[in-house]
Amino acid sequence: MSKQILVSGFGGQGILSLGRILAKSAIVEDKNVTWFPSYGAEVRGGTSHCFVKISKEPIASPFVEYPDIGIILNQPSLDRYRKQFKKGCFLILNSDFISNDSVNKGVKKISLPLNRMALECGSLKVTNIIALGVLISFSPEIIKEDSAIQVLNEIYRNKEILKQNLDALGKAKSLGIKN
Amino acid sequence: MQKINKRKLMSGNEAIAEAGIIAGCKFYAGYPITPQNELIAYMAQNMKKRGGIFIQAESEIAAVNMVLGAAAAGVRAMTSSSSPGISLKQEGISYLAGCELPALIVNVMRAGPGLGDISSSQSDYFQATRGGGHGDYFTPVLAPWSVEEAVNLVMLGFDIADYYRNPVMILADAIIGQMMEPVGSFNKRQFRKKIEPKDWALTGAKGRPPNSIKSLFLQEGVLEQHNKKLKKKWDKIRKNEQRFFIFDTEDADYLVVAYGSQARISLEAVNILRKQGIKAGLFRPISLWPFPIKGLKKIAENVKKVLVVEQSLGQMVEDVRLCLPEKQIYFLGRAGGGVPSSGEIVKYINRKLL
Repeated sequence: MSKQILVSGFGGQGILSLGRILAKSAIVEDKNVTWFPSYGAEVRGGTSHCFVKISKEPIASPFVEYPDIGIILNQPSLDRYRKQFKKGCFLILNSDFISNDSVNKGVKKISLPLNRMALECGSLKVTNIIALGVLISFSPEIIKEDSAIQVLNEIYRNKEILKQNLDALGKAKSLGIKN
Repeated sequence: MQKINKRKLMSGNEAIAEAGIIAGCKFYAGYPITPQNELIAYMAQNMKKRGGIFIQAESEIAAVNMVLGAAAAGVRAMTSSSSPGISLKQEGISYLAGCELPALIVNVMRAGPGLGDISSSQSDYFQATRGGGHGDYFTPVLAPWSVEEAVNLVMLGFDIADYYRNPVMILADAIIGQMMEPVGSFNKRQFRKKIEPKDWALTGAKGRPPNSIKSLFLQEGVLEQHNKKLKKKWDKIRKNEQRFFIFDTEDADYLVVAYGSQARISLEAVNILRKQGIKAGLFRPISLWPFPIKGLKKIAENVKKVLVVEQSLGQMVEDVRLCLPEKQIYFLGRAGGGVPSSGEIVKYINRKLL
């Protein structure tokens, strides 16, 4: 069963990094994955998104038209993709940057102050990893926490930064946020 | 040879660069342009460490001519760019073909004409498959549809280039260059013919008569003889180097023909159509020149209708029409960065072909 994920926010929120961490975690679990970024004209402050597809089967197109999961970190992103979130889709929304979180009927959503949660872990830079932790709490079938931990350990050699990221990953679980 | 056992997440651009290095490329020259910058960046970081030479040239034209020099000296050499930069390189590619020099040229296509924009496109098909520069020549063109296949085709491309002494082009599109996928092995060799040592190379004529490499033949009749010799080479390549991939074609009524990233999207469409009970199949040329005529004729024998899908306003479709004059050929294409989606393909087939 293929899972189609859209990650979107503004440049600097770690959108592409979050997608890559998802993709690498999928590889840890020996699944197939594609990652496709927005590239080029998007700069810090502009919108940025990436598509991630994870599946045990071979993946055809890397494009995502109707995501199963949306990780949406700012208002313009939700406004841009709102129509593509159909019934059955699950959204993780950053309430610190999203005031109008209305979505199509049948779309499941959770709005959390991801910025504030990240600051509690020591840095706004781990907002994306907070969102990843929320995703794992709700849908462990996509990737497992252990896989993400392994990937974070591979990426971050600096102990302090690694700790912030691991704290961020576990934040949702520690707050009892789950399905 | 270096062995990477674990599957690694890489972009098409990075994987093409790594595959080039592993294939034995000792000289890379290029000039930056989106959407292939990760390729030149990877080469900048890695070529020197791995015993090769990297040069960021002052222009695309300089880069391709540096590659010509390196190829003449007998080393595996490559350059890469995206559409507007590839147009600039055409003079050098023509000289490479005229001089019978092997080299790998990578085009990660973006939308045109002119400077266009940085989004994905397949509108350099004509340029790539018809020589591109001046004079009577062809370059074998290989079009990957995944990051993993890009690796294989770079290896194969260098082998074809060396075997036939001719430049080879990897025609990728921005989607293939930018997307990341797991890459398993970098050691897949597909070319089985024996490649002779480069005793024609300009290596300093110590202890042997001097070699000469040129594309200027002013004496009456000599150039025509040279052209005839090249023609024999094109005929041989046409005969031996046609490559394609098929999916669900055995019982297909409707055949979708697409290459590169558009073939991935078309495969998704074929899967959706099959679920709808429509007998669709996919034919994907891997070699765009030589176009896989033999394969397509055979596969299309029993299909009712053919749909060609491209990120262009209709280029490969002309080869498909030439190949299948008796079939009804439909075309769905978008340009300027537009990418026909799987949904659009499904809708088109349901409305126009059924």
